[in-house]
Amino acid sequence: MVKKLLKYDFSALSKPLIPMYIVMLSIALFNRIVQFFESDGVAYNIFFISSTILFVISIAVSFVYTLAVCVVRFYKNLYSHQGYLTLTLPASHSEHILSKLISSVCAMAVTLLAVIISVSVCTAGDVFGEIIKAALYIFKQYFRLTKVHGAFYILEFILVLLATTVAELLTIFTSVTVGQLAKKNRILLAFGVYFGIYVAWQIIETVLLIIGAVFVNTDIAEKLLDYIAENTYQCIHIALIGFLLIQLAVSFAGFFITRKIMRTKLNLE
Amino acid sequence: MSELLKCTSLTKNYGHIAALKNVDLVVEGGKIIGLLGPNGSGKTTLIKLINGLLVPDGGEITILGNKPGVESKQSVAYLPDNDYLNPSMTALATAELFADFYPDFSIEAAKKMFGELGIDQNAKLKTLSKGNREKVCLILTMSRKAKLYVLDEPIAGVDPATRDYIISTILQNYNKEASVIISTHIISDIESALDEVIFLKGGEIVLHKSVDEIRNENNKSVDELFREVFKW
Repeated sequence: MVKKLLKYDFSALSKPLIPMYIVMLSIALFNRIVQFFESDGVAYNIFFISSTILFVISIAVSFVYTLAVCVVRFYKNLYSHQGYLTLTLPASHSEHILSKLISSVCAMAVTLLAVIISVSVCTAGDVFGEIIKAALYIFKQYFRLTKVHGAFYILEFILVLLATTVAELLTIFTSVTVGQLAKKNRILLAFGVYFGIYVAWQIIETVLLIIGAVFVNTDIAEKLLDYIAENTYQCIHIALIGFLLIQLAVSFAGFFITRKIMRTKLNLE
Repeated sequence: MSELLKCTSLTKNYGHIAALKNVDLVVEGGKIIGLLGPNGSGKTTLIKLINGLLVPDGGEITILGNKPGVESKQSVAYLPDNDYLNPSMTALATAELFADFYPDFSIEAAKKMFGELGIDQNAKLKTLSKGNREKVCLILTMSRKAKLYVLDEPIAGVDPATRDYIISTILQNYNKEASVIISTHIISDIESALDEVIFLKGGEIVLHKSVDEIRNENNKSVDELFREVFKW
């Protein structure tokens, strides 16, 4: 059933996202064409700087826009009038959440790919060759330093990136789901819940920092620093895997809270 | 007759307000049932509970022995009382969506009805008139061979000619072994099609009888009895 739900979620997301990719690639292409007329003239500099600024803005906007499209799809398809159809389809609440999550993660990944392609278009030619050369050199040095650990760091980093995206999306889905419990100002409540979660995280981080600060200059801290110095490679693994586990815990909490509210407190418009 | 829908001491509250109070109800197959009552009597709450869009605070509800869930949703064809389809999809694409999810949906039947009603199946729903969008909703619901049809206010807000078409569409297209629950205020237009009626008042069932029983015992039409029971 998730496969069928995904078919319609991908279709709905592609409609607003494809034009955005076309615009971003067009800006990148324009920037590249401008570079063919390179000169010391004022006109060239104005065109080049303007198109570069525009391109950088388009990259930033593309991620925000993709996220907004995914969240709007989640809200409208499940909690607006469309929910009367979506939630009476023979699919479970878990399948609905999974479909929205997978389609959103894929949309973010496609946007990342579109950004990489756009940057490649912008830098096509000698500059692109230099970037590849520099990247290869950096990787060579990286693997020389980290040896076999390097490959695992990359894998762990990709998993952390994926888990962070999933956790962030599920936090937003949970906020939207809590927001729909209100009779009025549902969007406002959703923003409030998201802000509340953000503040709670900031408080937790601050408390941890304070606890850490208390232990500075103590024997425990010294022993810990010595251990990190002796086992640097392992400690990086522990840090990455620890962060991964935190993101997974946040994801599971978001998933189960969203599902619980959908099951028991559904309040369609 | 098979027991399609069973409610036992079904209760639903909205805060301190009781929308349904200990409702006991059994609906068997092969019946067209009018779910009648004034605004706020609990009709839509009952319908939402049947469709799993609300969870009861007390009691139990089963559809063919299953609590509302994935299995029951395969057996129930639901027509909500609002514009619930994605306006950026065409009528045909929406029919294909129904065909994808409901094995009992007949896309041929839907296309036939689109044609009969002159609905452009390739037009986006947002470009259709409100009346035509309502017809699309009805066509999609009635193109299923479901066990239980639950229609929430299907004839409200449409002209009398469309009302007649809607009633005839319901009568011609529903699965004869199935039951149809129709929630409405407009009783006179639909009375002749009904086998049974349920009167809901303040969240309680105050009457559940066959139309023949009402005519024989009360010597009144359903419309007349409704006006008497719900007189202010």
